[in-house]
Amino acid sequence: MTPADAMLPSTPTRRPVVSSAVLGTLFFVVAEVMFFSGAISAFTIARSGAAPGTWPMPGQPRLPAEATALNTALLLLSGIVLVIAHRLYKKQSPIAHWITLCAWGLGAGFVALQGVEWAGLLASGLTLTSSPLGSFFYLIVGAHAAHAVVALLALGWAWLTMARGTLNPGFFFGSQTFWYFVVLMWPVIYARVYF
Amino acid sequence: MKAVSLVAAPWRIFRFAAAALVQRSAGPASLGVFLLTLVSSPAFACAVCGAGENDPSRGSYVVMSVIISLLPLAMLGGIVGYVVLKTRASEKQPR
Repeated sequence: MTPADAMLPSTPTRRPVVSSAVLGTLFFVVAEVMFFSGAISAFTIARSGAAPGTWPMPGQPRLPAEATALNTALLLLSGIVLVIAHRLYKKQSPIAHWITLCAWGLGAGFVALQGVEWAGLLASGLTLTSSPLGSFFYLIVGAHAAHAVVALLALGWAWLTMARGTLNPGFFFGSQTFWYFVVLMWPVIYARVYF
Repeated sequence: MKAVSLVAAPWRIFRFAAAALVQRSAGPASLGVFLLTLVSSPAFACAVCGAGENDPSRGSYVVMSVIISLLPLAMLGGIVGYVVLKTRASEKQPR
């Protein structure tokens, strides 16, 4: 350092209190929550206005609420395991990426079981155009599944780069934020649409 | 007689809210505006019929309107609160 440099006022080091990835994802999540709120609101109003005995319409299958409880448990467990993975990553644990993979596997299991459920419902005659319930079901649950797939892709990439040792922490925290949104949105959809 | 009282109650609440606004007291003014929303009558698309009055989905409309109105405020408030908490925690840490 030259004497001239020493005379310059030192600029304080600035640390971001919240990573840009997390903050950006949070604002995106706000928009997505409003999208789901609008869809669930329309569903609730349509359902309450339906004539008695027409929801679901006669001849249409009822939604498999009991079987979906298992999917719900998998998804919630995935969120809990990801919280553990986050803590281990912060402590620089060597098993953090394996725990992240466990969370990813549980989430992938949820999406796969949802796919099986959809195949069964389509085979029983519940389609996008068969009834208002079918339209709302595939819109709301399908949009959630699309979000889950995108979040799984992000988490999968985070796991891969974590295993290679090239992970950008901001990307991992942003992916986690999005996955927590997918996890926490689901019980609301499950309680509202399936019962 | 009933018509007079139906008009008088909102008018009194309106005067109360207006006086509070003039005196710049936010609490009573907010309370007055809130009470005004409670005494207001439902407005129907058709001015001469009340066909929608007994619509079973009316309650759902009201509840979902309240939820959708408050949800963005709650979420943005949550984000601001989260940033404030993180800032305070960061200030406590040694640099």
